[in-house]
Parts: sequence; C-alpha cells; structure tokens
Amino acid sequence: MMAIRLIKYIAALGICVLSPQLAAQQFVPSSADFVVETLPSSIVALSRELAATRAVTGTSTSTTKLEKTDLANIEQQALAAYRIAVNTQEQRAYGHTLAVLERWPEEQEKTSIIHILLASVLQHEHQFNEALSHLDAALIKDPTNAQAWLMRAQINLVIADYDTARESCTILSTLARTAISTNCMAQVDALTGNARRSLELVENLLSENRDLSRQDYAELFISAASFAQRLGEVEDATSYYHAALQITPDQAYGVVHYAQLLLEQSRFDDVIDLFAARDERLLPDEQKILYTRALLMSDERRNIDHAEKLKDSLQESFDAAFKRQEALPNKAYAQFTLYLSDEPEKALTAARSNWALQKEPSDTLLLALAAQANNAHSVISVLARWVEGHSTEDVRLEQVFANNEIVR
Amino acid sequence: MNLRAYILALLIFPLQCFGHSLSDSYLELHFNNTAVTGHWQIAVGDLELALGIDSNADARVSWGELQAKELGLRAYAHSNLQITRDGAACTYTFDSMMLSDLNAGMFVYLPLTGQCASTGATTVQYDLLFNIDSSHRGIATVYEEENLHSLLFTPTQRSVTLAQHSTSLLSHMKNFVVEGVWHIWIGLDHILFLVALLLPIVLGNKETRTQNLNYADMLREIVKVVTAFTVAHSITLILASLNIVSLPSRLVESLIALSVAISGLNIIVPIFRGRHWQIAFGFGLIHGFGFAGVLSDLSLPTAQYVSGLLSFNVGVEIGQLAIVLVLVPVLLLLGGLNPTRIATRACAGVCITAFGALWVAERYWDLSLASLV
Repeated sequence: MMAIRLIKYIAALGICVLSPQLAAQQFVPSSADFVVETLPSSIVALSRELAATRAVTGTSTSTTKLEKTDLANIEQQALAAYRIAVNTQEQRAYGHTLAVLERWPEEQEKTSIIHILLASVLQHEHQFNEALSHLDAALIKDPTNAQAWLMRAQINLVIADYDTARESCTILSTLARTAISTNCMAQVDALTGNARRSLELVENLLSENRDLSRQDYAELFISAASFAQRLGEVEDATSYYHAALQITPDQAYGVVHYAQLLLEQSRFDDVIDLFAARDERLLPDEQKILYTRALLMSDERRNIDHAEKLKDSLQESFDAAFKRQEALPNKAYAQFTLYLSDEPEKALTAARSNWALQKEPSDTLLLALAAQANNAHSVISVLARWVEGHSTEDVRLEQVFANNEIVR
Repeated sequence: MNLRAYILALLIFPLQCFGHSLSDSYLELHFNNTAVTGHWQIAVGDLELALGIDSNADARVSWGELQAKELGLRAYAHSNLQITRDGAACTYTFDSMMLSDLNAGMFVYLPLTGQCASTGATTVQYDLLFNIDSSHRGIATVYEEENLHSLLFTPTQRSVTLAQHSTSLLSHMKNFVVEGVWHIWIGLDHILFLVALLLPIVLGNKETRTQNLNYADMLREIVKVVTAFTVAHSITLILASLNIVSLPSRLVESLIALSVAISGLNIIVPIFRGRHWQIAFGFGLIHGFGFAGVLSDLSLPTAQYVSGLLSFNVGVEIGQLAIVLVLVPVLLLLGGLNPTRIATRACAGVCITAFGALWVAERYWDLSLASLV
C-alpha cells in the first residue's frame, strides 16, 4: 500500500516538475477531414446568434454612441442570448448575455427588462444580493412586473429569507396566474413547517387540470416531488420526478434531485441509465458526481473504470475553477470531496462556504453530512437549531440529527 | 416583449450551474533577455463563437475548416494580445497551429516567438473574447528569467504590468520561511510543548529536586531534544504534505494537545524518567502532522511545492531555535534560586497540563473553552 502511494507520489511529482503544457501533448492531424470537435448544441445555437448579430451590426464589438434603436437591439440581443443560456445552461451564453448587457451605456437609465436580465445572470452566478438590488430597481420602475416578484421570491427562498419570499409570493398572487402564484407560496410554506399542506395544494392544482401549460405541469410536478421527498414519501416523489422529467428531461433541478432520490434507494442502475443517454461532456458537475457515485456503487468492473475517468475529469474541472479564483463551485466541490475523493475536511469547508451563500434543504443536508463525516457535532447542533427555528421538514436531515443523537 | 417563458424556467428551480466547461484560454510566456517565446491555447468552441470556424454548419469542426481560417485566427489572436516592455511593443508571430486535447475540450495551440526592444517592466494586455463573453478568463503563466508570475485576465482586468522580481524563487522561499517561523511563534501548543520538554532539563524535576546537570550535559541534552523534535516533525511534515501519510486533523490536533498535557504533567510528576529526546521524537511526529495542516492551508503552488515545503520547515526550525535561545537563559535565571526554581516548575507544570487538558477537551470532544469559563 505504502509502495503504491510512493509510486503515485513520484508520478505526481514528475507531472508537477514537468511544465504544464506537457500534460496534454500537442499534435497535428494527418488529414483535413479529421474532426477536431463536435460542437455541443449550445455552442451551435450561440454561434448562430452571434453570426446573426454580426450580420446586422457588421461587427461583434460594442458601439460607443447608441441610438434608441441600438438600445432596443441590446435588449433583443440580451434576451436572445439569455434564452440560449436558459435552454442550454451554457456558461458562455450567460457570459454573452452579460457582455451584451454591459454595452448598455452607463449614463442611460436601465429599463426594467435590462435590470431583470442582469438579475438573472447575477443569480446564476450566485451573486444574490446584487441580483436582488437589480430586481428592486426593476420593481421601482415597474411595480406590477410579475417576473421580477417571482424571481425575488425565488432568490429569497434560496437565501432562506422566508418572510420576504412570502411577501413577494403574496404580491404575485394578484399579478400572475394561479399555477405560478400557488406554486410560489407552496414552496415558501413547504420550507416553513407546512410541507404536507403544500404537497396537498400542489396535488389539488395538478388534479384540477385547469389552464395548465406543459411548463406549469413540469414545475408543479417538481414541486410536488421535492415536497414528497422531504416528507419521506419516496414512491410519490419518484413518480412526480419521473412525470416532470417526461416533460422537461433536461431540467437540472429535477435531474439532480431525482438521481439523488434513486441513489438513496440504492437504485444505482437507474441512475446510470438516467445519465448514460446524456452527453457526458455537458453534464453539470453535480450530475457528474451523482453518475460517478452510482457507477462506483455498482459492481461491474467497467463501471469502476468509467467512474475513475469521471473523477479525474471532475478534479480537472475543479482545478480550472480554482485557477479562476472566483465563483468557486463550493456545493459540487463539497460533494466531490465528501463522496468521491474521501477528503471530509475539505468537504466540510466547502459545504460551510456553500451554506453561507445558499440554504436550500439540499445545502443544509450536505453541510450536515459533511459535518457528520468530520464528527463535528457542534456544526450539526447549530444546523439542528436552525432547522428547528425555521420549522424545516426533511426526513434525511432528521435522520442525520438522530444518528448524531441531537436532542431537540 | 414576453420574458416570462424564458425566465420562468429559471425561476422556479434555478441555481443549477457550472454545467458546461468554463471559457478559459491558457497563455504561457517566457522572457529571456529581449527574446519572448511561449504558446497560447484557445478552445475550439470559443474560436467558433468568435470567428465561425464551422463553415459548413454541420456542428463538426474539422481540421480542414480550422486550416482554412488559420490566417484569420492568427490575426484575431494577435489583435487581442499585446506585449510591451518598458512601454515599447514587443513584436511576435505565431508559428503553425497545432491542437491539444485538454479536459475542457479541444484547444488550438499557437506557438509564439518574438523580440522586445528592452528588458524593462513587462505589460501584457489581453482582450480575447471579452466583447462577446464576459465570463471568459485568460489564465497566464509568465516566466521572466528566474521570476514566475501567475496572471488572471478578466473583463475588468485586461492589462497587467509585472512587478519585477516580485515572486522570484528566493522571495517565494523567504515567504514560506516567514510563515514557518510565524506558525511556531503563534502556535501556543507547540511553544508549551517545547517549554515542557526543556524545563525539566534546565530546572530538574520533582524527582531530582535540584538542578543536577552541569552546563555541558544540559546543553547536550537540549541539543538532543531539539534535534529529535526537529527530525521527527520534519519527517511527518514532509510525508503528510506530500500526501504519503495522512491522519484526520481532529486526531492530530487532539494528540498535539495530549502531548502538551502529558509533557506538562512530567514537570510535576516525572513520567518520562530521563527519556526526553525519545519523547520529543515520538510527539514530534504528531506535531509534524499539525505543521502539514497549516502548510496545506497556505496552498503551495505545485510548481514550487518542494521549495515551499522545505522553506516552511526551515522557518519552523528557526522559530524553534529562537524560542530555545530565549527560553534557556530565562530558565537558567529562574533556576538560580531554589524558591524561584520550585515555583517556576510548579506554575509551569500546572498551567501547561491545564492548557493541554483543555485543548484535548476542545479539540476531541468539541467542547468550547469559552463555555467552560
């Protein structure tokens, strides 16, 4: 064992000593037909959008003096870029949206749409306070903007400011359709001690089947699934996630939580099936981690080899993120170090940083599990008090507290 | 304009991100007198966005398509990277492009060679992709003779002027020596452990009642203890820093606390029975793991790992030696008279044992010292 570690060390040291460019060998393809890269659909869509913009403006760079039509173009281009970002979750599309938005002249007052789009990108980058500032600015200009109220509610849910979230949902009930406002309020209630009532409310809405779009169905199914999952009603949660993913198969939240639920039930093959059909290069880190865990827990040798490759690629992805020294993917890194690289201390540090920023039940659970892996009972006690203070219901959290003999 | 359909999808269950690889390019430059060499790696996906490489729009970028755009690609890269020294632009060209297959995808690899008019302050101006992607970052490594600079270019930091000699190997090592010294000086547990080891040698203990060593024997014993402690913690510091051996930090910190408590107790009740250097060696192994924990928090850059590790260890030794040089004369003074010797022994023994015991409680059982007070 020691000898293997020593060999690994010498190999690692060798890599460190060699200059970084040798890590990937350069090459020149022998044929012009050699396919260098198959572009993901997200890049294709964004490239088309950029080409269309270039065709209209004749340049991709910003202009210095903008007329009214130019300002309208900025809105249109930002919206088009944002549409691609939301549909594909492509980082470059979010980056492009921001690049377009930054062309808005400083001396020109921002429209509510510009504020909302800025808030959306900032929210994606987990800059919640900045996003909320833009939403407030949008709502000053347009107090009946349902989108802004909904986004405000959602961000406040994530940062666990439930009173403000409830206030936004209440206002939303006068501005938006029932499916949207009810779902909004159900989510707040579900995190403040009324998960059962929220589940029943959403189930009723689904069964009434009035004026619901496909998108409404997908969102309500996801809500019902997450409430049922937190209440420990595994079968219902499974079928709701399944129903949601039938409508929106790539909905990241649904995929992650469904895979997590399947893993908790030791349905490793189902998790593998869920991800095997997807383009592995494009899987978000959280999904890649769930996939890797399922592969490792299955018994097949080839799955283990596959898992090792995924682990290496995750490690490289985190290394790249850390090199940027910004927007560190703390949640995914905590999961990686907790479940895959056996570094519980790093997991606890990352889970703490994540929890300082966002406090959804999955974030709280991750921190509790990381604390448990470190025998950090004081952290678990703090979480237990926090959960009790907010009346958060989650059977998995309760299990962690019980395992650690936390008396509440 | 109806935003709802697009925003709602994000609104209800948002905050899942970092799915696709981040847009980064990797630039490496080497300056040697007035010559500059290096390379630039730019993702094929990014070049597609900037230049539209996929001319037949089949979503498959072929080598032929890249070759057809190579001149434009070189011009695009060139127009987005300016290198100056002492304010004068360096002239450089890109050699024939190659490919490199990185984790984030396939990258175009552009070798670079050029000349600068002077060897003065270097400025790198990087503008690649920022006009179309605000999330893009340029990650650069620049070697200026013996200096290594790691640079990050962002839309708000597109130009960096390198501070000359700011991160030479020597200054890098100096920083880690200082960190090592600083760690032992602010680490009360390490200091108390040293005090507890040296005190019975200089003042004797309850069993010997009096100072029974002559100065030569005392010096020899001190050297043996300090050397044993140094050798032991150096071994585990190196092994743990290189991930060859690892122990949970909770266990390490608790054992360090225990070593302090036991050594403190030895001042009052002789339990080591003269085996000072052996005990120093044994507990030194544990303290080395503690030093390694601090070192890992300092995030040693991989390229300078070994020099950083050794410098940190040298710093720890310097700090330790400084403590010994101050401590021994003070103890000799206090040991000059029987009452002060006995009082020092008693006070130090009780205090060090108490501190060690409290730390054990705090570190192993998560008890807060504040709550005990």
